[in-house]
Amino acid sequence: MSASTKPETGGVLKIYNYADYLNPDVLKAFGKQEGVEVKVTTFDSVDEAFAKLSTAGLDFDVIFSTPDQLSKLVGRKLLQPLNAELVPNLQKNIWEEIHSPFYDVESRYTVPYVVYTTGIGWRNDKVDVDPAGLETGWNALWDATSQRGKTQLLDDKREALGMAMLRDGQPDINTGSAALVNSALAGLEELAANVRPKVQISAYETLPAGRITIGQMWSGDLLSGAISYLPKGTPASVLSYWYQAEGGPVFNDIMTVAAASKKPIIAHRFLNYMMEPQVAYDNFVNYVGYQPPQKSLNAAKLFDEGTLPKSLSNAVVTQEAYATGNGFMTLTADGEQAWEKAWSKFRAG
Amino acid sequence: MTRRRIWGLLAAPGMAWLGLFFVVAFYAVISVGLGNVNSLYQPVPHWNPLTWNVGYLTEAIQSVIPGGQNWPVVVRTVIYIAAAIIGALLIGYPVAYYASRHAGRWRGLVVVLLILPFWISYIMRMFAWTNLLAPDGYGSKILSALSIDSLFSSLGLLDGTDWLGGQGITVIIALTYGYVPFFILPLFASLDRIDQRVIEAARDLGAPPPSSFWRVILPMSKPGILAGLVLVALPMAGDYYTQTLMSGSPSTSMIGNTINNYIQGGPDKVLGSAITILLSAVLLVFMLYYLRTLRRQQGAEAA
Repeated sequence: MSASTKPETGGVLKIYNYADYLNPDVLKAFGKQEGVEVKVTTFDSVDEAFAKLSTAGLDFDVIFSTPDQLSKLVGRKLLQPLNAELVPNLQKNIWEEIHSPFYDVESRYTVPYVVYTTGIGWRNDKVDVDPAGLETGWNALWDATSQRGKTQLLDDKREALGMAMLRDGQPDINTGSAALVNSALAGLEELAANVRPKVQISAYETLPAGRITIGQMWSGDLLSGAISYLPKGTPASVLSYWYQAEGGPVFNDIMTVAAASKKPIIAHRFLNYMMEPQVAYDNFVNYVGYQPPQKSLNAAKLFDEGTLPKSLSNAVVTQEAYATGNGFMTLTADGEQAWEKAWSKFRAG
Repeated sequence: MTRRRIWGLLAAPGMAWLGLFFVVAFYAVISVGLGNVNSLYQPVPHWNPLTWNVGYLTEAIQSVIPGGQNWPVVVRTVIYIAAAIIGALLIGYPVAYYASRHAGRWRGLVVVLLILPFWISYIMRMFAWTNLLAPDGYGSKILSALSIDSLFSSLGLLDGTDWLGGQGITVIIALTYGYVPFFILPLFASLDRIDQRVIEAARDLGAPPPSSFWRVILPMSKPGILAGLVLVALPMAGDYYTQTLMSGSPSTSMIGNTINNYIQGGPDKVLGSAITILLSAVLLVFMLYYLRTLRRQQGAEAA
């Protein structure tokens, strides 16, 4: 190890991430191994995170985010380029498709964290639906009029409007066209009139608790709900999930090293650590429920062994689905305005 | 050193605190709302009043007038607040009246009970409601056993039987419940100050109890009612988490939610700030009305 890549010693490693999105035991083990204290600060949305990062002088070491935020983060010089030698686990352990992803060619700034699809989750003991049997599966949510008020729409303008686009058979979920965005808005307004959804991201807790019975959610919400949030006496088999296998949203979150980091080497080592097969497995199965894109992870086996409930086997992301899936990418500034306008109109009810 | 100067010095830290966290913060909101955005649609505050840009304020005004995007939210907010205030008045006035004039030896206990809700944070009390009103919660079971849910349904106030399923009535009930203590306390203080001899005089002059209430007590408690109204109406106007917790549906969103949505995410923070300025201006009008009424009342009493 050369002098320039010698880890810094002592102090605090500061991480910026969503809440409940890292296994505390994993963090503790990393802190012990490196002799640092690991501290997580949380945000509610990546938009909020970007706003705070770009105005205040926050000195985080590791920043979690989504690929659509990357150009803004790099443009604002909030990230530093990665030293590939310090994150060998990317090549060694991660799916090949993400070694040099289209949003970050040659992985100059990011390594992937977890992968997920966006789809419809429901309580099969309370709602009798079968999105897979419909020509357009998303209509299962639009048709769930008997569940008025017990439905969820993701509190994320890209996901919500993007779903309405996919339902209309409009596959370009990264369009900046105001006309297309407005017809998606009309779709959401129809949804609101039909099923009066709650606009939240807490399905991982509210679906197992039965406070919602059907809704748009991320695949990881189902597994996370099954792992940690089922009330006593409720079996995991009551949770069901569907996603659009072709052209539906499939994506991954990213881990980056902040430009302001005072511990860049430890930060790199943290990224590498999270890509260790055993660490990634612990983080997935014992806490977050969102799956790491690890070559060695045999998801099918986890369901066969009963580590994860068999009824949710489609809540994992296969390598093929990832390769052919649709992702939310950065919009042009004007495109972003069009989406934002439509979304705030929808939120005004 | 004069006594006045000593008190001035003692008050200075508090005034500085208020200045820093109110005046400066509010000036920042104005500078953002009357500012501009950069090419990434991030806000660029204009700190210099000479460079203030009213474009976003105009957009904000257009959005809250009839026909504008946020007009339904404004109407809804006014209805919710008015309904919650009427609820608070109907529930709060008798309680304050009883506590101040008829509680006798229970007075101390009643006052403690009135203060008790302040021991628990507002958000915790709302969270408790979300459990009580969940479909299998004790609250909704009791309401169902008493047929209150079907009564509300038949009146068109409740759609279905799920209290937490995006129902305006639940938001109103929660607002009433959450703010009623803030309404009772100033009213209690005001009723408590009414001289017993004035009421006795009314009786001596032949006023029956209802009449002495309507013509003496109620007018004299007007400052307390107004103070209570101001104390609850102002925070309700900016409240967004009650709606978020009790409903979460856009069909019940209030102006506080709109501002929160603009500020929290996306490129419309400037518009959010501009709406905040508008809301503050409207609330200021009510505040001034309250102060004027108070001054008149005091003037009348002094005379």
